[in-house]
Amino acid sequence: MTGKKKIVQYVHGMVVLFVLWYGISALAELPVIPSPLAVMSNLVQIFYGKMMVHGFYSLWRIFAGVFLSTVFGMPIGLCMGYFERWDRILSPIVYLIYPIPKIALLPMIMLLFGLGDLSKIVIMILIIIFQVIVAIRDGVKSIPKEAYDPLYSLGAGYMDIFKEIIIPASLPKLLTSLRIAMATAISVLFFTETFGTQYGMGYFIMDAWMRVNYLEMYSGIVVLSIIGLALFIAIDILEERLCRWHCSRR
Amino acid sequence: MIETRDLTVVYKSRNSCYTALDKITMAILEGETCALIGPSGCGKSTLLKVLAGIIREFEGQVAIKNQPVMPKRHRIGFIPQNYGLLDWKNVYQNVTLGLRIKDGKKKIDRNDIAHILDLLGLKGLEERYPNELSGGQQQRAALARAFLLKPDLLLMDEPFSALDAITREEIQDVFLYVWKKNPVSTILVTHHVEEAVYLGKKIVILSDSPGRILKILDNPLFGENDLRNKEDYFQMCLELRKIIKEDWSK
Repeated sequence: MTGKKKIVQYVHGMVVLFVLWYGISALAELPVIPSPLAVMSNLVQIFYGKMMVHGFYSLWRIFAGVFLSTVFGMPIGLCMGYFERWDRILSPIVYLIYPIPKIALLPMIMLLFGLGDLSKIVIMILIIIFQVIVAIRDGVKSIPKEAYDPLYSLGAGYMDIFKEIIIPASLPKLLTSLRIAMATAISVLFFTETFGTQYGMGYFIMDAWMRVNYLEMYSGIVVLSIIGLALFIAIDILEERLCRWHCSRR
Repeated sequence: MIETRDLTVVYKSRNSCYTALDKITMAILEGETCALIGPSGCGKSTLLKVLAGIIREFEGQVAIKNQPVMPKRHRIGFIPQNYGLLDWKNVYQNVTLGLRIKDGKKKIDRNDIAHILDLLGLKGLEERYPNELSGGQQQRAALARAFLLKPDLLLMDEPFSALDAITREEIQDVFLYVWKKNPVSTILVTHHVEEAVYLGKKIVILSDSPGRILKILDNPLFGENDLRNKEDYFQMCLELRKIIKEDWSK
């Protein structure tokens, strides 16, 4: 799909969403569902002065969380996918930890890593990393065995095999897992930002709520959504850059 | 010279043994082509994989230039049934893969590559990915990769069987043309009698499983111009068919 076409589609989606929102707010006539027009004009007024700094804090935390999850999760997933033995030993551990509601560990994480950014990023990593590991492991396992044969017959070492086959072949799976993890990451971030910080979209939204300033609260939600959308688009662009072979197949 | 002596391969699973190859003894001279022909499941692919150094558990001896097969030491070009192109690399990257792994990036000679791409009619397709190529073009890319490597031994597993009849003949000619300019020792597996007579200076007939050598023929017709239209060619094919029919129907 071309960039232009995509933009048109996004604009179309946004218009539909805003019309729906407008309709509901007009029907309900409640202060808790303000009209999108009021929210947008409020957003424009407060964005630079009040909100931008919160947006940057959130963006940085999400980025750090997703980036570090990839940095730690990818090698583990790659090795589990390629080496039978790693998989045998690590799979049960991963499966046992995966379903634990990590967010419930927040008090413990906060005690260990403090109230600052670190504990927020750690909890995000704890939640995302398992999706990354499992997706990459399965990605590597789905590479047909014959794909390795020409490299084996060339006397390729592990480095060559990882570089030429395993990493490029599992990249699309990684990006898909990040796409799925991103939505979780944003909700987790929101939750963690309601504690122990004065910055971040989570704090901003909860603070506006406490002050019963619904316009600001909705402005915050809109900005947080835009951050999510931007990250989604960033992953799409990354995929087109790194996995052109994969995109051209669709 | 490529030699096997009493080569036996047994696949072991938990509670059964299966002999894929039984005491294969054969020799191919430097710069000779050899066509292996045999019924499905007779272990032809297994034999190639042993020669390629992919299967390492076997009895007997396998030697290239009087040294036991070792992918790290020898230069082995292996073209599997599905051509072995990596989906995530474009034609240029795929064609140079063998050289990159064997000699390192720095030693790649751009003139050599341009020459081979030209010879195989791949000019202008360098940036394409395998899924954007036709079957014939993929086969050409696989041949380019193998010939560029200047291998001690070129192995091809039913290289032309997935192509339609016209394309197959065309690629067989391309192969012969390039081979005559770079006469590397070649073993190809096939189940087409015509292909064996057209491309094999030596023709080895294998029996139904477990694979044993039934007969080794020297093919005096190999390399003659316009062979497909000659009476001798049909005679040879008929003769071969007769031998095969008698033996395989036992």
